Amino acid sequence: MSAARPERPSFQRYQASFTAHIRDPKANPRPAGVSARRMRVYNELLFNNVESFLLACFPITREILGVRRWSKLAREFFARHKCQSPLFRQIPEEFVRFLQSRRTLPMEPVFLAHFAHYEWVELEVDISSAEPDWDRIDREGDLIQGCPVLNGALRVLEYPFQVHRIGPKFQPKVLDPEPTRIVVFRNQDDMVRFVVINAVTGRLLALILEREVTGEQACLQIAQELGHPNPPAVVAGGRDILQGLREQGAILGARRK
Amino acid sequence: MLLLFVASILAAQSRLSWLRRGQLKFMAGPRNNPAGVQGAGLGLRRELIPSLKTAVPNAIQFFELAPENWMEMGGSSAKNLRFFSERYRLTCHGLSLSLGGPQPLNEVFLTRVKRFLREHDVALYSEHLAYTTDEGYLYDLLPIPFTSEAVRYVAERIKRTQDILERRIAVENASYYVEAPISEMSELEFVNAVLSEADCWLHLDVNNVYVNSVNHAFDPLTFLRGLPAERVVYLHMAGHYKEADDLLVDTHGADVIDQVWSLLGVTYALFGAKPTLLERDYNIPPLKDLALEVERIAQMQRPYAQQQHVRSAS
Repeated sequence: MSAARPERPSFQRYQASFTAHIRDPKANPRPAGVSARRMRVYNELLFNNVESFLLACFPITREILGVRRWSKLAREFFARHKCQSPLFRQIPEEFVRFLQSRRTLPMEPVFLAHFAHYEWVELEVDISSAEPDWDRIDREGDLIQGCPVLNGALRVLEYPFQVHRIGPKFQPKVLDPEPTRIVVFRNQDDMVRFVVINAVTGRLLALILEREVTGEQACLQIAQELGHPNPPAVVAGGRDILQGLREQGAILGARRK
Repeated sequence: MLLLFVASILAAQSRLSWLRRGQLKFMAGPRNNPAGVQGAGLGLRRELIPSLKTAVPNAIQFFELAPENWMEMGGSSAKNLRFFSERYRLTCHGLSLSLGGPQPLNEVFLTRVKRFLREHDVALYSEHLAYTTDEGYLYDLLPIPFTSEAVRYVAERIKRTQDILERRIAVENASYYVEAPISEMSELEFVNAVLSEADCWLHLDVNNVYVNSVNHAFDPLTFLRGLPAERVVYLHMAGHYKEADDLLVDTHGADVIDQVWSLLGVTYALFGAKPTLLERDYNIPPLKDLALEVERIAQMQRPYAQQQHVRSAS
């Protein structure tokens, strides 16, 4: 709280003490002359509202933490984090950012920030405003000779935990040696899908995301990077995987010339 | 070559049903004749969309939504929005502009709102006479102390908003639970001073007049009679929660009560049949039940509709 800016008019000083009390009633007394009972309406309305957005987006995080640790965390977020997005749907994103910016406490699972990100990304992809330009995409186009077009509402992610397995019964204590790579996207039925991929598929998608390349160019580059003895086999494998991703909706088709 | 590339599909896990069910909070908003809607409307909520897509009750002539909950979204949200904006006139009732907030007006956000209003040909944009921020967003409405410094401050921000949007906006009398000990004037005096200094419209929330009159022990009729008729362009109706005899909370989670219906009658008698929107944000009943309240609004408007035409022609 920047409480000491003397040039501020008195109504703003009052507002600062009002909001400081709402954020953290234990640390900041309510403004002088204000009824405790009336003030409590605001304390409850505001915290409950923010928490309801978190509960809706992070049900598994909440379940893993349990009531006590969850409440402490949600309170800390509400008290300390100054959300910069005017959009209510981005409260979960603000929460993820808050988790990433703080040190996970010894009492909390080590994967907390990563897993919360994974829970949030479904929402992010679901409402992504990316819409395909179908005039420039051939749905049936050849993905090896042509340039594959990735779904715009798609994220390729890497986590140091098997986030897709995490839940009350699977809570890793240490980082995995090998990252978990997941493609998350919204398909043509507006459903969010998750696909776990390996490093080579990840590289293939990265090359396609980077610039417009044909499937063949991307696969040959990978063969070279791997020092693979049989580049045509890499291209054949690439064709299968690209085809599979198209069936899933992660790839929309080939760029129309 | 075995498993050079791998992509295994995870079981469809959708926790997002909450989003489609409309957990995202949004409140309904306002609009008036200077701005282009008439009759009775309903706040567009995600919970109601499936039944509204089947059939929109006749009484509903327009929809209101919070731009904060619909702008810049793709997927099913975008499709639903387009479905309604192509068929009905929309009004927008903002939540996050924080007209009374301590930080500089968020002009980047306002520009994004402007784009949204244009995209969907929104008839009216209104915001709350309140603040929702300190150094960050708090996502709920807090009461501005009624002081003359605050009047000037808020009026300046409304004017700036109107300049950026290139349209006149309406501000809503907000419900409040705490009277600021530093207030120098009544809510009525504050509202009137802001309206006149900012030269903007009033979005009159009839339920808020009632809620505030109980919470702060004033006469709601005196309040209504004290408002500038020429600035009233749009009305809200809603239910509230009674926490105690002297403490009502503006939840939009219950049916409209009789006293508020009576105030609506007085409002029409004073200001004409201004476009009126029913807000319902929690405990949402089936559409057919909400439609009864919207129908009641439409019925109450009928006797005053002529009066309004006479006024606007004069």
